[in-house]
Amino acid sequence: MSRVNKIQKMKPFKQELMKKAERVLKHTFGYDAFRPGQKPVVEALLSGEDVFAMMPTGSGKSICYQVPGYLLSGLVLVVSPLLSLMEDQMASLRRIGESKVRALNSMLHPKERSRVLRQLNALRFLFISPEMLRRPAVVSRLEETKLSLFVVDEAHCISQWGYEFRPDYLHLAEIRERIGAPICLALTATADRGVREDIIRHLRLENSRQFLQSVDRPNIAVAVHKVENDTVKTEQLLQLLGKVRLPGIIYCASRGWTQRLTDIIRNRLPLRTAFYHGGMLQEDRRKIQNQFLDGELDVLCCTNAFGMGINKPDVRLIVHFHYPRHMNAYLQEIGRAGRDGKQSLAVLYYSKEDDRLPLSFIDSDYPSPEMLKKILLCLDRREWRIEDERQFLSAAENEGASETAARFVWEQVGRKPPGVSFLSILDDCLRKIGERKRRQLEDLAAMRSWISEEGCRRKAYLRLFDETLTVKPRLCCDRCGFPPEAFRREGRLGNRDDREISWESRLKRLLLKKLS
Amino acid sequence: MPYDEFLLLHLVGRFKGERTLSGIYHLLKGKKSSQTIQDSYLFHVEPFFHSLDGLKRQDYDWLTGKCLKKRWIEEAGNRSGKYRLSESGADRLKALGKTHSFPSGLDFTEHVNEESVFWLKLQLAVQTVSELVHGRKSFFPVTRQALVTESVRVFLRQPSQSPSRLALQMFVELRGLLSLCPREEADILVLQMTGFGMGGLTFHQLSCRFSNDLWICRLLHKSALRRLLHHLSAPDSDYPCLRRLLNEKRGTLSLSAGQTYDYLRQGKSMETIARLRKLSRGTIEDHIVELVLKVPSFDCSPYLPEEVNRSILSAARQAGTYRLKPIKHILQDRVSYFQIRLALAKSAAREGSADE
Ligand SMILES: [Zn+2]
Repeated sequence: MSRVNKIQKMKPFKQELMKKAERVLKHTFGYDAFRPGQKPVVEALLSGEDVFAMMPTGSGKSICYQVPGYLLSGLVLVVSPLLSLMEDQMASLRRIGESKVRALNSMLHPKERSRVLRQLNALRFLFISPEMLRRPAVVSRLEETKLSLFVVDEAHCISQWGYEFRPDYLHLAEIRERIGAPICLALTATADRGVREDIIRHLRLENSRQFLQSVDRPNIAVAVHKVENDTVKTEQLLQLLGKVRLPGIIYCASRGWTQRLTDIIRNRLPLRTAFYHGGMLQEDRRKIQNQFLDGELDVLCCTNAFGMGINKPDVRLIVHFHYPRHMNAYLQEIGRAGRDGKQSLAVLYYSKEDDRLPLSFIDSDYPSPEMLKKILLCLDRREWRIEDERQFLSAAENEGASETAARFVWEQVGRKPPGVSFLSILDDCLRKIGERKRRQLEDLAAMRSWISEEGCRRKAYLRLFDETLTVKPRLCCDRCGFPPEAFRREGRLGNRDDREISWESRLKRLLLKKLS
Repeated sequence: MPYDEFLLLHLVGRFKGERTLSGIYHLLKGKKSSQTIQDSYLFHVEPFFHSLDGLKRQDYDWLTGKCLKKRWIEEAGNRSGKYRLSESGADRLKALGKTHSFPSGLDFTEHVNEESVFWLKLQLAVQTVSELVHGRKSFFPVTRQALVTESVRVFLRQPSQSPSRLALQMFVELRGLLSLCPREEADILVLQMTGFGMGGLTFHQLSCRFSNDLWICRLLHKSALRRLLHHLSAPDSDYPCLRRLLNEKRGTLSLSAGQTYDYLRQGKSMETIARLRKLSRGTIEDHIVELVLKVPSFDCSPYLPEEVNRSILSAARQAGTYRLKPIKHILQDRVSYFQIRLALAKSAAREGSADE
């Protein structure tokens, strides 16, 4: 059959499939139409092509594999780096009444895990952590299962240059081959060219269809305010919170600052405020997260530990009390506002004092040469073992390494070729550290130059991602100018904490359904 | 609010210059070492064992630093690392004692090893039932600990119970249990619970809400939780639904000591048990000390003949201390450290039960 012939035969078939896809979208998911960017991805997957898609957070990435999941026969396997992300996606599928969805991760009770593995053939969606995917027992069960799609979510984790590098992601291409090479969809949020190239190479997606959606979020107005010092910064923040639409998220560089700001806001404004950071107990983090999702908080002060996997559509304000280390992170963080498409605001405060923070963070991401040498020597003398990851990490942290630095060492010693000493990889490690630091400093420089940008900020960030601004929104950025009253909060000024204190009425509200 | 000072000075006073500040920290955290467990009986501070399991070392160090700076506590003996109350510290404690007290529910220590897991199970059960009864099938669970998730799953599988009936029964039972607690304790416990449309509060939020010290909030929580466990597990308790969240196993024995106990009852010797379980003799000794403390019916006379027991106790009185070394010295090394620990544990257990 000639090629022309084949395409002509495909065409009506394809149209038929897309009609079916739209019916699924409407009847199963309740949407009238695909959002920009979703349709071409679905179309390509349904015609059997591998896809690499970059879509900004909040653009409905998951629809791209969820809809095909109802049209192709077999299991949709979704590799996801974070438990909270898996939970969020499972939850959204369960909300539309899907029961054939499970997750496999290390938090699962062994009993539950084997239950899931036994029923693979009866499932439609399986979310899996990259660590689980390296277990032989899991892979051999997957070999016996009919798979329709192999989805790699948050694919930027594959890039060593990415700020969320996950070594287990490097094996995905090989595993995909072993389980029958199903059609592959790699999804990533904002990623610059270097990271994109890494993803394509590691997943062997050179021949895939590529869809790069704009990183622009037209409904988020952007502003940067330069201030003299932290005191002025705090005052300006309080003024802002006093009048703009909420709920809002305030990103701070340290745990201490999240607590400090929470206390200040609570004392000065009638707003419901809490803090969130990685040093809190897991249960406490979960409580704050639930309060925020349930609309019980107006302002959340947090570190960058908050956000991944959180899908709250009506966040109106993102504040950066300190600036992040790269534009990717900045865009991801402001992208948590206005997922419902309504007008939102992002404000970044900058003072000279802030410039010290990121540099010290970058340094603490890696072990010092002395520390590294000491650890490698300990390994050679068998004073340390590398059987148990947790033990290794806590031993390294006892030596004064930060968590990220400890992870870096763990990842390097795991890749030592057999038969040579640990010390022999020292130079190689130092070279890698130098390279990565250089890269991070470049990212930082780009972030800083964006902060001091004189022209339109939207244009400037799009330029960093090789894009040009085609339509400028009415409320664009502080350089283009916008009236402050555009974000003014209506109605009463705020909410005091009005949570029920009395245990008996609270217990009633928890367990007894209100008769309506 | 000096509640933290009250707590530390009280404990330093109880330890009479015989323990380090770290020893007190381990007590509050509930470290499962035989030393800490034995001490809590020996110095009659069992209610405080595991009472502040969420305590962070840096917060504790800050507190001890404060009391040192004010010279309320001082080192007992040169560089011993052990601390006692100074005169001004004793005065301070006395003054604080007029306005402060410890919540009495802390005394219910029968389920101390189980209380943390039970609390997670209770929160997850309430959250799940709350979400179900309001028709929401998916939510972020308060905990992801596999063990807790699994037992709540079993708990929810009550035969022929609709979610709303289960919710009603849980409500009735919880209301019954909580009305046995002081109002403030009940408020603190329920405010921490998460459910449909309501995220539970963290301790930090609670202390702001009640304008209270973080320490007292934690102790009030623990007190309420222990009351719940106490009433729930009472022989005549009438809470069949929530009772299912309890572990019906041997009270507070650690798992490992429990296994040793099983072997001992089969008539095996300490050496055999150590070999069978691939444990050191020292560990088996720890288990036996634990059994003496926690199992009233356990007979330790095979290891500690009555006359040896008597001579150790009189030596302890003579030495005026519970420290092992001086006692051994007075008895001219005729007894082992193990025997001294047993004798002290036995007398502590006896005094403990006489208190009740
Ligand atoms: Zn602009």
